[in-house]
Amino acid sequence: MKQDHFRNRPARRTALAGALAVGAILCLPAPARAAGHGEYGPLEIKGSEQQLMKSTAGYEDQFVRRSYRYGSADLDAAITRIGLLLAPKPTDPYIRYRFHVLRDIEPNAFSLPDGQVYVNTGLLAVLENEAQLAAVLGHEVQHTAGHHGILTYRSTRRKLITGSLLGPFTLGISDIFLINSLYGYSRDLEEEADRLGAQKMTRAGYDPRQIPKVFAILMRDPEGESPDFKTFWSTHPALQSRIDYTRAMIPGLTVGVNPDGLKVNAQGFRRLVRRASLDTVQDLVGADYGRTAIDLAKRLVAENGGDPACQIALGDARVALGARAMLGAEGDLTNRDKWKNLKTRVRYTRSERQEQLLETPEGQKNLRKNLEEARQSYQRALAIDPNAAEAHRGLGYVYKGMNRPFDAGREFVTYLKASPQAPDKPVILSELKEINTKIKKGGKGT
Amino acid sequence: MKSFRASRPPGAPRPVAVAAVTLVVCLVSAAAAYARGYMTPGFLARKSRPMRVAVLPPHAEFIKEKAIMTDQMVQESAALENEAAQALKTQLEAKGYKVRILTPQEISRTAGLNPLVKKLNDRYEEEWSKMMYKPKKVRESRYTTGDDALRLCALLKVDGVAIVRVQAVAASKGKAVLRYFANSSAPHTYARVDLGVIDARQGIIQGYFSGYENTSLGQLVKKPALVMGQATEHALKKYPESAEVRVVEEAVASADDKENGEGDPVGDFEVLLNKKNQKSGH
Repeated sequence: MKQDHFRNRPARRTALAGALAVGAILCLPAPARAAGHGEYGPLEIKGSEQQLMKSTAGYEDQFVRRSYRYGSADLDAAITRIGLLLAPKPTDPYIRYRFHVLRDIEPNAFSLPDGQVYVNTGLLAVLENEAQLAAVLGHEVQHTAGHHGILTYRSTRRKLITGSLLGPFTLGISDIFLINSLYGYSRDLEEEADRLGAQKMTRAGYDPRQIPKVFAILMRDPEGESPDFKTFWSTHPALQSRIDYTRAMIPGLTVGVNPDGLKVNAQGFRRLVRRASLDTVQDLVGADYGRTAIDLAKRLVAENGGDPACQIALGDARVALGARAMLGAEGDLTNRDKWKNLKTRVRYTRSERQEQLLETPEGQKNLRKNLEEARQSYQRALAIDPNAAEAHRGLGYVYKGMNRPFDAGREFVTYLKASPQAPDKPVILSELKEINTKIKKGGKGT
Repeated sequence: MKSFRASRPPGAPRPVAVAAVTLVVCLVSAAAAYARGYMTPGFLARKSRPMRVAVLPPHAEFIKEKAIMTDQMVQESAALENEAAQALKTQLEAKGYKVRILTPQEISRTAGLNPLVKKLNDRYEEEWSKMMYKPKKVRESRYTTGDDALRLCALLKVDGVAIVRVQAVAASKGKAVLRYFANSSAPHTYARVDLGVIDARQGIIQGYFSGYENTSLGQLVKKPALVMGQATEHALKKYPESAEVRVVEEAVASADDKENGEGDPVGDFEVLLNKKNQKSGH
């Protein structure tokens, strides 16, 4: 035993030395890693990066092929106008800025190394004003201008080569440091884009006090399904940290400027994104994110109380919430609860989740409450516009859920008569068939 | 791709789905090819099996594993998508079905089609990630795509929709050499075609088919038609001929056996409503 231990000692020493060396290199503080800074001058594309650029160009076509583009000329024009105001002059022939909106419920935006910048409808729907959109676009164009994508590719490649050479000697321990280094590098670039974007948007006349508000919006978690995880494992700095450092930047950015004279433009922006916000509510309903849909729909109602479409959206969101309840304050849920919620969504289908909830008295109570509130929203829509056909469709579903088949059928028929070419006509006819069968069988509620 | 916040960009593969595909592929990678098929009793019995099928533009993920990095072959994946759709059309027609390929151009031209296709794809992916883990549950009609499929089928005047997902992974020569020296198994270059068939009456995923074919990087890039043809053939191996009727003695009552006569539901309802009103003296 002792002999074996002795014999293995040189190998262990090598492994230990290797681990320490890798650890020492990769654990150096960020500035000493000589990483995390963009290149804002021209940057030549090297051999293996050709494929990266080729794929990048391919995404533009792929997003069209896959029906991801939202296709609103007004929105595309608006974000192009703001984006070009903030984008630095391209330093390379392969950079050409173009801005598009994607139909996606996730509140996110991203940019590609060749100048493609995309903003999701899910983000436009939750932003409050044009200055916040400028904060997002200012950040994204800095990624392209600083060649962050290409530099990340290079850094990753270099580190993976080092990792694959040293890995066997360090018994895989170096992989942890490798991940730390890769993510750390990415976080550095994100922070750089935040800081430079903030400077740029202020110079363009936008109020930088809106930047921390964007991160606060992104921190919202109405579904209780976004558990916190250590920054160590993240490509982006923690949102709270982004709020803190951008807030700390504001006094420096507004030196010699009257902050109240800077552009915010809340009204014009919200008017611009109204259609996209309504579509996002429908997409959230379709994706079974009822709580988020209700939050957004309530805001739309507050902004346009006299618009029946907003009342209908709120009704639809309430129906989608089904047997669930809105969550209380953020602090009410532990991280474990959030993981559990997420796991439930991943593991079970929608109908299974609904059935599980309906087995409990709370679930049944929630369903009744949500249906009643949905009914009120649809009634309000009809009070504003008696010809709002979609409100009748919504009421049909509400009464179906309340087990009132005659009322449900009456509303569905009204909807079909008011809107004979409705795209969901076959769906409603199928609902009517079901109702007729139920009435003929003489079940409860008939 | 640098995004504003830490999250999945649109178009990127969903982590759960990718993990599930990778796991399944690892498990079957020893085989040169395989075919899997799961169908509801209604689909087997030809009751809920669509005879006129619309094929949505397939989504392909093509990854090239290099010695150190992996490359997303985005432009090359477009060729795989086109060929997968063509192969599916040819082979389903050979089995006696009427097939209509929906092209991206047609989708962008037709009013209202674009968001519908996007929604249905998103909904399908939500179910697909679960279906990968428990494909046998297809037989119990566990997976449904809801109203979007019904609306789409009504718009296209078809009985069902086929949704195709392609995954292609190619190992470069450098990767192959590394694997050889690491004494690992042979480099895996493969193409996998997954097909979900949704009916127009209830939006249920009535059939789920999967085909896997070992191939090479050269073939994937230069002969996508051949590779997609082979993988699709495997996927459709268990897909019944259009006239074929298989009766499954299922103890569980099939959810897809609902009555679905055409009739006039509006007229029927009004008759029932009048009867009720007469009874109550209105």
